[in-house]
Amino acid sequence: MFNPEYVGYLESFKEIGIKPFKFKEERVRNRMGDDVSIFLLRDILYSILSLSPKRYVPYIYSWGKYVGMQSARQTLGTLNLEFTTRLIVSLYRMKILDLEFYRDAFKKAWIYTKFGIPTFTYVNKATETFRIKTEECYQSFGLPNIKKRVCIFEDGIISGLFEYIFRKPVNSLEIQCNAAGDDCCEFSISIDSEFPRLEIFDSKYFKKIRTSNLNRMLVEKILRPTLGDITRLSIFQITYLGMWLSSSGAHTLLYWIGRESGLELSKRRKIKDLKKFLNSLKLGFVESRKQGKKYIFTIEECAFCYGSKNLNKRICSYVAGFLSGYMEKITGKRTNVIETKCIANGDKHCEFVSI
Amino acid sequence: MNRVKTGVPGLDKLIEGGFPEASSILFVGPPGCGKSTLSQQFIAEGLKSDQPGLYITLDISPQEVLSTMGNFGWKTKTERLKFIDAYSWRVGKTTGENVLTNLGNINDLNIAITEAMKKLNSSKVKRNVFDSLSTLLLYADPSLVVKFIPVIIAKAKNEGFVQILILEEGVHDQKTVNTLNYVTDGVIEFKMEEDKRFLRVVRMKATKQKGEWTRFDITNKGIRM
Repeated sequence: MFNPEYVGYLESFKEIGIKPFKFKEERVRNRMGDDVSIFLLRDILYSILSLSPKRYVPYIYSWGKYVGMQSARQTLGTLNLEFTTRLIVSLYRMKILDLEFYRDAFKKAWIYTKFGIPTFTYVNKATETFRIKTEECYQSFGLPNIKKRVCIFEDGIISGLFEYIFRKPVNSLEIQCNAAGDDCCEFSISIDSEFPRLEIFDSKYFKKIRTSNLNRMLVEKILRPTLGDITRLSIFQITYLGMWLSSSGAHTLLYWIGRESGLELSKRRKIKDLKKFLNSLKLGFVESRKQGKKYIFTIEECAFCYGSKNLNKRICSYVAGFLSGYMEKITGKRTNVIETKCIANGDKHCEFVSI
Repeated sequence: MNRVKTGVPGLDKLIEGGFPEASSILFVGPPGCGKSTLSQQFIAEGLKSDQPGLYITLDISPQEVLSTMGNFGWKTKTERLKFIDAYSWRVGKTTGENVLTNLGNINDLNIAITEAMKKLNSSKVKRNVFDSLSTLLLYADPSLVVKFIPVIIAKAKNEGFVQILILEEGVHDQKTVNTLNYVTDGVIEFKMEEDKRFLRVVRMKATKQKGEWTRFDITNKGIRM
């Protein structure tokens, strides 16, 4: 009898305790819902990429690959038993590159996660190469034309997905991109064990995208007509939390980029209502109060940690950094914000205090 | 020039036997590429031959550092390893030996480091890790930190410490990075591609270096090159 544990799915989610996505709707956040703004995810990615492209471009690609592999595990694990069994048989007995077989499942998963609307555009079985076109790409749709291909994280995710499915080293390289002035993004995927030759360009390009994305956060009009400007909470969390947990130094990086974004958005008081603003990003329900000289912020249903088991850690470094930058502009002096309560620390909600 | 073994034989080969004695070395790279692990291995290597270690931790608790080192099988239960805990204040713990109450006050950190260094005076060679400068630059006034770092480096040299300073790549402005490059004796860069990690010796006092990327792995016994 087929044992779903065979594919090892959900392994990483068991470690961090977050519920994986399933193809049937199952709400984790009762009031806020299980979607998060793509602009929040974009801010994290492009802020990191803008720090030092020569180091962080390979880093983000590699990170995407990890997320892709985890997503493939979930996808296979949550599809029906017959499909999964056929897939395993196909992989282990036939050992062929049978894209027809995966096409529907891939499209379903891609649209479900709201990464984009994919189409297989070119297949060469002889060279084991194929291409995927993605409309409304979550990473670059609506970005200004900077004549560069910037979907590095998505490159990583695609390579991770197919590496998990084919059980062979796979790499993906973007050949068309919204940010390069193309109508959609297109990725060329090949069975290849060499690390791809990713284009490294000046950080000014990423900074331009980052600024454009921050401005976009303040616009109420929906950018992506079909998918909306959201992605799944589980994908957002595995991207963020996995990165946070990967290293003792990651919290510094995430606090830093959150702070830069908080500062930038607070310039010229662009954020008129913090509560409404963070709510619009689906980050959570925010309340703030003043206690003596300190400001205390509480966030209910925080997108960064809601659903996590008790890891004995306070993980919302990006939010602490964001509030730090926001408070610095409001108070006119350097302000540190520390997280005093966190759902990932066993608390009911997250709490941040300015010091 | 006398050399101090890093704990990674492959790295020692690259730098003529180890770090120069009484030197300060800057580790730069993205998170997760092995900077802290190599630093802990460096401390553990010293403890094997009774060389004292001072670990200034800003990113995780001393218990977590000990636990990580223990997982690699490195000896940590020794009086020769001291911590300055500049992490726990962020999670509400402000009491205990060498626990700082607020990282924003750089004088407290300065005093704690000075006192701890004086206490560890039993050996000619001593080892110190500052993990990480990036976190200090986040919570304290960067203009003060830039003045403070050369003081700490000078202090460490006077006391005979070989010092490792950790910096997250790209987070800081170029002026700060230039200052750090200028005041340290060596720079090692790290990078990660998929699950493969690499380092290269960019600069090292009194050492010929090729500047090429060398792959290393983090195994259950620590870093292997």
